Amino acid sequence: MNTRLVIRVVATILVIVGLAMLTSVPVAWLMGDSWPVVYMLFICSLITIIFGVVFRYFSRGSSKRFGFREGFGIVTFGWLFASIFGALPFVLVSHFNWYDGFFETMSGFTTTGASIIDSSTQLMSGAKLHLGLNDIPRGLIYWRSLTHWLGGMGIVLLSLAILPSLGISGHKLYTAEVPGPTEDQIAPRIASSAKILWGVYVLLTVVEAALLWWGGMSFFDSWCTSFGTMATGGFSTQQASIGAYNSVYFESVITLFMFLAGVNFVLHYRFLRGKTFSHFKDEEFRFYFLITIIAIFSITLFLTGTKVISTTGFVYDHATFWESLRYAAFQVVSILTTTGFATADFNLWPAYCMLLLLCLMFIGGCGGSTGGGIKNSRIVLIAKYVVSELERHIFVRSLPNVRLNKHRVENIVLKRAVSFFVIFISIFIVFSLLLCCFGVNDIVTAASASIAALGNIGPGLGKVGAVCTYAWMTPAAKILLAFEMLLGRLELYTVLVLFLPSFWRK
Amino acid sequence: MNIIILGAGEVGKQLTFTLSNKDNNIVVVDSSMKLLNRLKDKLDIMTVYGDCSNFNILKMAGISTCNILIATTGSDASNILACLVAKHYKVNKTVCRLSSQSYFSDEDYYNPSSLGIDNLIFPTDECVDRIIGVLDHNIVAERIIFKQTDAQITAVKIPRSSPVEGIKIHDFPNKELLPKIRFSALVRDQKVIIPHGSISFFTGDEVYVAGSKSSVNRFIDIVGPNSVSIDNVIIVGATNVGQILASKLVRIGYRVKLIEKDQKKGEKLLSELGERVMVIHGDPTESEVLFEAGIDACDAFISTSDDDEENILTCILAKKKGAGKVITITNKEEYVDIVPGIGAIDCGFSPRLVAVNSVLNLLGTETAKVHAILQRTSGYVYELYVTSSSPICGKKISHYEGFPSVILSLVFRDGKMMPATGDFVLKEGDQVAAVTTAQNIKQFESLFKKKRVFRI
Repeated sequence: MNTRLVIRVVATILVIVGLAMLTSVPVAWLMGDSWPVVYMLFICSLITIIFGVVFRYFSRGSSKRFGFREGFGIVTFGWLFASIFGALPFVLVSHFNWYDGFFETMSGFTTTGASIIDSSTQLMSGAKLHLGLNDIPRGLIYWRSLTHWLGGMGIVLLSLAILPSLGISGHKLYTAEVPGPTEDQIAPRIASSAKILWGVYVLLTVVEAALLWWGGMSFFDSWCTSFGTMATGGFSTQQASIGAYNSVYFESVITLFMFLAGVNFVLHYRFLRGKTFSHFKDEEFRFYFLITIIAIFSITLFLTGTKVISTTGFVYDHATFWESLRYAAFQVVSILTTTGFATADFNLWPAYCMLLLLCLMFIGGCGGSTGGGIKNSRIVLIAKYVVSELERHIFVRSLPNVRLNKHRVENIVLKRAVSFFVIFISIFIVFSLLLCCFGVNDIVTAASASIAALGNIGPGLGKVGAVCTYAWMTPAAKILLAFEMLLGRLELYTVLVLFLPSFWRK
Repeated sequence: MNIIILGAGEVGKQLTFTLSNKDNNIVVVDSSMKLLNRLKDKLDIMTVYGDCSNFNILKMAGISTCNILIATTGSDASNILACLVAKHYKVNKTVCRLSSQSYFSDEDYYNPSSLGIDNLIFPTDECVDRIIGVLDHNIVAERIIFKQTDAQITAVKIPRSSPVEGIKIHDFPNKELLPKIRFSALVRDQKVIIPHGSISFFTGDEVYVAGSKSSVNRFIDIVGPNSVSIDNVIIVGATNVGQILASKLVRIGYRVKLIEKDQKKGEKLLSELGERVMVIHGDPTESEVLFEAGIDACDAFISTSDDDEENILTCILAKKKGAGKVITITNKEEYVDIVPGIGAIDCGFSPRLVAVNSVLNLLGTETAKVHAILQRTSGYVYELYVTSSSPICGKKISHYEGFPSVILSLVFRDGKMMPATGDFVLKEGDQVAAVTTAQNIKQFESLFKKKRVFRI
């Protein structure tokens, strides 16, 4: 591997992360955080930028040799170091333990939205964070939401959009960070594709923030929520998540934008270019849409008449159809798109609802969206592949003919999708077991935490449910989960190939 | 007329044979010396050896004084380029053969004329349409459609134990239908018989019936009341014809399976098809492969591979294994003639003949043009135009009974179709469809000789 080049690009990414962090300084000042907070945020960004600049300087003159290995290396290490440096404000401003800070930042960048902040969080000094989120300075909350937004569309993609002069084959980076089962390029150059995708992303974020602000949310909250929504992240500015606002309007807007964030952004781009029905022409979107509708209505039917408790603790003894619909729709879209916002404690719902939500966690968003999970297109491909294989038991000599959007899918793509599925499930199982070894003494919690991290969702079931956090876990479990988030966000292969001995051999 | 024909392959060869007469000066261009010599040995034509799209070669072929350029090489790009050069030299008419319709689009006003092409022919598509034309009934062997109205000339094979077997034409059971249709030809033991009223039908006869769509279908129902409708279709060969046929059939609603020997070709076909078709990878001459494709339940079996011998043998095998209607594609001239004689094969189509047909269709004179070349026998369907100076104008059709081998089938007048019965009086502006055999073309010509020499 061309180590110098990897260091150089990773250092560049760090500079960009540092610059993004710098924006939290004026935010903290405007939001009235104390001077030491503003000062420390400034120091943190300065450290990040200086590290980036220094390493960029020392790795100058690297050769331009750039292959797949460098692509995987840059993306994986880029994300890792972004999370390490992104954790600085948590440690230096609010005195979190390093592993808590790392967990929170990784959770942010990978758009997982699993948090360790609540009233039981232990700080470095051994003291507890008594007021939970309310104890955290606004500047840091902004940075926490911003990590979502940066990670949603991809840090490397952002670097490509800002600095096409990274001077290296963007395509290899693109496929390493935005893998997806199929690929559709929208512009002749990756840098211009990156700009388009980020453009759509920014546009949707601004529209959502404006809608929320117009509906009466504070300016600060509307932006932070919008960051969390469009990235399908899940960090909220409130301890009780979106449920804290108890507003049907906010929930509807957020549900809509979560749903949009889970759609392939190329479709949004085509729509904006005037192709009105581009969404419904796409098979993956139709599947995603159908799953959403079916899940919402079946859960609504199960919830009607039962007890529903919102995240703020408000109890509906016998939820009406509309109340059920309100909470079912928000929870289903939030979980399916792997956002992880919550308005109700689904831990108390009937078993069918919980299990269905757990299944939705595996599916995730569409390919090319900011959502995680296995991705709808892979599920569609695998289902079709299975049917075609069954058919081949009767017609032994028939050629496999799996079609997506009317085009035949190559065998290699199918095999990748199936092997992705197998690895995904294996990692889910292995990490569930490991979590049990490291202090999670509950099957439902261990399994759901594992998938919630791997699928970049956030809340799971049991002790990591919608109204709980990950604060109580052991440091080892937190590191494991943070690693799982990275695996899930970069869609397994990019990270896993680094563990192959042949990757490092010359 | 000066005609340049590009390509001396099967299509070019047949066209040269058909067009070569004392009125036409023909130049054939090809990059194979062997093919050119073979043509030159038989016909009084000029041949030019070289690349068909090369400007200098075309100049050598006399493009500057050419009236008609027919580009029929196997390469679409060469054909288009040659037409472009031809238009530069103000050639009156360019005919371009293409294998795909996807070169032009009305949407963006990108039409053939922008590339100097006056007339396009798509032999593959047309051949596919001909095959589809016979797929609705298992006793239909060929269907020739007239675009003006819903008129058609259809070859119907008299099935075993048909209600009309042994019955003379004028004793035909449905008296009401009889005046609405015309029997244009009857093929028995590969010989064309002129269907007089006193001729009776026998099993295996192929009757060319002319009339409107509904009356022809009525006739089919009477002749073959037990005929099954076709649903399951097996196609052999991932060729151009096979691919277009498969996609069109799926769109119509047939259930299609395709057998291909070469796995790569099969996968390529699957990738290019817009529809879901099952492709079975195997040798179609192995009965196991045929059974996997469901040969015993298939209503139609169409062999479209590039190899004539393989097509014919596969078809015979398929019929043995229980396929319903068996259709083959043949290209070699010799085979085209013997296919109708093979009992196991119900229909044969030749893309080459269809291509020639399409070209001839474009090259009519003021009084006549070839509408179709019959695939089941060596006959033609002509379209004739009655002008005020035609000897036939204003006279009864029966007046010309002196030409027993020529049957006038249909008359089109003011956009309406009527059967050309004996006491019908022809008027100026009428269009007549007539069936005649190849040997009788000359005799047929004499009918019009007085006023205008018929040439194609």
